[in-house]
Amino acid sequence: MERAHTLIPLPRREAIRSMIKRGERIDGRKPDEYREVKIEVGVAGNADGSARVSLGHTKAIAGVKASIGPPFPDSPNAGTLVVHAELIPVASPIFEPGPPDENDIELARVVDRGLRSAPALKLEDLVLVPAKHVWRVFIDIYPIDHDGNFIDASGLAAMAALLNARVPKYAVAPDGTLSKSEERVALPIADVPVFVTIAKIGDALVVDPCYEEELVMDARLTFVLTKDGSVCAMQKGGRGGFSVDEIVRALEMAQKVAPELRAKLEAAARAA
Amino acid sequence: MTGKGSVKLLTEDGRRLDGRALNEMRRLRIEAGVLKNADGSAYVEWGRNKILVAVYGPRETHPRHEALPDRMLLRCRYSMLPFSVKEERKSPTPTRREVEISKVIREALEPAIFLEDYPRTSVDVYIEVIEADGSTRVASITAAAVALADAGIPMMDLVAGVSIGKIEGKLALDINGLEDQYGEGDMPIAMMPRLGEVTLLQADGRFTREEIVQALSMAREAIQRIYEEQRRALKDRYSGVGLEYGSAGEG
Amino acid sequence: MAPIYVASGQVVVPGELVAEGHYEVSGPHVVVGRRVYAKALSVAVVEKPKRVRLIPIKQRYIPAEGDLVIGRVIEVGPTYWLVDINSPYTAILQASEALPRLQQASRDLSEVFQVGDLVAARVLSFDFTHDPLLTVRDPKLGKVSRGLLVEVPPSRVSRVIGRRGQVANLIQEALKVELLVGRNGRIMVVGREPDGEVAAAYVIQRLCAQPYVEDPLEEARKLISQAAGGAR
Repeated sequence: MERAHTLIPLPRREAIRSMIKRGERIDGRKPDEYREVKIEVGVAGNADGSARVSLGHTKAIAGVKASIGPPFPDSPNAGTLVVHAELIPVASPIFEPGPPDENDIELARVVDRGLRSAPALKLEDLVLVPAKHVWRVFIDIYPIDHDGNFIDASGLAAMAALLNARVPKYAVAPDGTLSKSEERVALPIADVPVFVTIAKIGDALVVDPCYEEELVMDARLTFVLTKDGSVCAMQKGGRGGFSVDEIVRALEMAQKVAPELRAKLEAAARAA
Repeated sequence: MTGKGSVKLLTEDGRRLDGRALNEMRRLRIEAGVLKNADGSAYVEWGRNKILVAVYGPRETHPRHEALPDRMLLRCRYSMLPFSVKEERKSPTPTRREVEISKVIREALEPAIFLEDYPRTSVDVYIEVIEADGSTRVASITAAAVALADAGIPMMDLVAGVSIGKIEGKLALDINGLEDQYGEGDMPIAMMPRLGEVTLLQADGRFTREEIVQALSMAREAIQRIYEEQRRALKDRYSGVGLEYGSAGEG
Repeated sequence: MAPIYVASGQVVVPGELVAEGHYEVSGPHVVVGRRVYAKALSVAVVEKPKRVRLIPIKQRYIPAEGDLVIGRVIEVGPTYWLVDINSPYTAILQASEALPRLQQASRDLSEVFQVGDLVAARVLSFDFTHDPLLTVRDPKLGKVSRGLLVEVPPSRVSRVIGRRGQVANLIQEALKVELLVGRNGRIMVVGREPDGEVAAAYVIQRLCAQPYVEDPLEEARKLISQAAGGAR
């Protein structure tokens, strides 16, 4: 459906690609320039943590709900993390209502891998009674206006919501019974991974592609970067490929913008 | 126990738990035209309710066999985000409640729209509840009417709604989540404000004939005020004042 | 004196009372008895003491016979092209309206227009029950391969043309460009130099940014001098 929205007029496609050859972008950015990032936390009061992120016109919101339940049988000494994402029609005429399709699932799994392997949360600190009572943390992510690169927007929103989350403090009696206190505490954060996507358009690489750039790109590559600058997850998407040299260049571009994105996340969480 | 009537909802001096009088509405704020991609959109904060509505259309109907030869097809989807509820995370799969609410919202909006102006096309209304605190269906209708107008859909009037509840035997305007949960009744009402025609009416709980008449009159009066806020939102947006949703965040 | 309830420049919402009595009202409205109500979100303009124009703020393009439109090919069929014309109604361009008769049966249509191509076309017919039909049988019509595409709200296209084409002529002469103005809100700017194209695109976009402009010709003049100043 809505073919008209995923089809870029050929003259426009040529204009975008030839500008990029000259090192220019349609929205006036430089190839390694990220769009203006805005992060706001606490936007959904019934969530334990929430955030709204915008990259230019692209916007996503994420909410955290945590509850106490049994751990997964294969990891009795760890809390659980579940990431769910849905590309809802609110965000773009190209998204259809209905059960999650491969794009929704890819988005959720890329964010999940990034948060899990960093790791963002110390899951082992989310255990109240081993094998019995652990914290189960759910993150739900919804892009609400799509102008390209909803992976980074979603990843940033998810991480901001985790930083914003406050859950009730529980005391565990010697016999294993739980008692909830009024006090609310932050989740045990281990790292603050950030998501940075690079698009390949012809021979050029650009960071944080907007929607029209995504329509003309050959491929994209997302890096998830931890505080020490290393990569904790990657995802290549799109029909084209990357040379080894391009991958290295893309990584360097991503590493250049990551610290600033992380600083914004941390500042937004502190400001709340 | 957590059943009806187990929590005292009125104080000694007749105030509600959030300090309101029985005929007092929560703070209402609407913004129109908050999204870039949607043809029309609105964001409403009503008490603690936060709801985002996007409208697409009139556009070509997909799948094509659903198109109506003589009029526009109106479709509505009301959904609650998993973290919008006070209780534990809600599953993202649509519940029977959401399916029914989507239908009654559609039927509340339909009478206001000139559907015959654009045969074979469709208009889709997507409602996402970000934070819920009672009366979300009437808040959704109120925001959806603004989003439809924002999309340029031809209409004979806007539609606005409010819920009248019954707490400790008395009618209360614009009930919140707690009053819905522990009160004796809930009557969501929507009207075309100018025409005074009722386009949504539901009730859950016992009401006498007199109470119904009184509830409708309370609703009618409140709906005039809600209508003023709807008009303000649309007028401000196109007199160069409105903000994009989320644009006021941290730089 | 019959009352009027709006002032020029005022935004009116659907269902809002505009006037009562003998008024000449243009734009989307409904008449009930003696009362005139707005039918869509619009800006009101009181043109004469007894004449009100309602300019819709957002309105999809509805094809009308004879309109020049700029379309985008979205599908190549065996004997036709499907063309997106920025409307709820997708248009059909039959091979017979684009090719000499002898070629119609034999030619692969994608050699003529392929998916993604922009075409300037004229609306042959449209009546809501059938999809609009287009033609490119006219020297000025057909594939558009050069220039900048500018998209504006379709309801504001007329101000780019202006009374007797004055605004379009002014832009064309002052900035040395040619305009192909599609009624569907798509305007192609073709110039000998890219600078002129960018300046003209700026002027058109700014001219169409607001729902209502009192004097489009004067506004265009101002914008052109701004654009020319900025280029230097």
